[in-house]
Amino acid sequence: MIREIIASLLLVLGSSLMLLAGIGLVRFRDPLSRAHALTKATTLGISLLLIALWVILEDDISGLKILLVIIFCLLTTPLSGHMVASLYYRQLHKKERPPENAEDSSRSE
Amino acid sequence: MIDICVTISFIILGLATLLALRRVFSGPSVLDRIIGFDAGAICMIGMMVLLSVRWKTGLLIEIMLIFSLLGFVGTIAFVSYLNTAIPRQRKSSAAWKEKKQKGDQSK
Repeated sequence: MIREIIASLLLVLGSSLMLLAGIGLVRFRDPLSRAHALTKATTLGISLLLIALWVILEDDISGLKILLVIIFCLLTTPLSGHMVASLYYRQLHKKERPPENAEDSSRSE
Repeated sequence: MIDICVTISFIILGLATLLALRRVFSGPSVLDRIIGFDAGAICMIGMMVLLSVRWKTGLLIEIMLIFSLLGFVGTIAFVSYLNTAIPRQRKSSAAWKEKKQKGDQSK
């Protein structure tokens, strides 16, 4: 019983965090702030959902595999956010080049 | 109690996926679409977790791992493709010095 209560609390909390990430994705005005809203909220949300699954399954082997998935999500989600943010930063500062490079950039796009 | 909470979480995650899809369809730039795609992939992993809680099975965990890997690889592939489309410009690079010398000669 206590297991189910803890698991349902974690499930609702994690999916609410995902909904917050979606709202931030729609409402914010900048790709930098959108990546910022998405990365942290979804990392915590998916970790809480997987911990809820660990609580409800009561199985050691599944718990270790869920820990693997949690570690993988903790590694990859901030990395993709960082890649998107660095690409946007480079696109933002693309126009600060001297005029002899400008025709090169227009050709390559 | 857990069934009601799983249903509520399904509805909330579906709403989050719809918001991500709205960003994918109406993003002003390509980066917004990439971010929306990432959000949709993570929401799909969350729905797999909810399905696994409802059926009380651990068979979907490997599929979650594969889906998170696929979403990550898709994001990284798009970003690195766009990254090569913009030429790198640093003042210490050889191409920059060459172009600068060429410009000086043309003047």
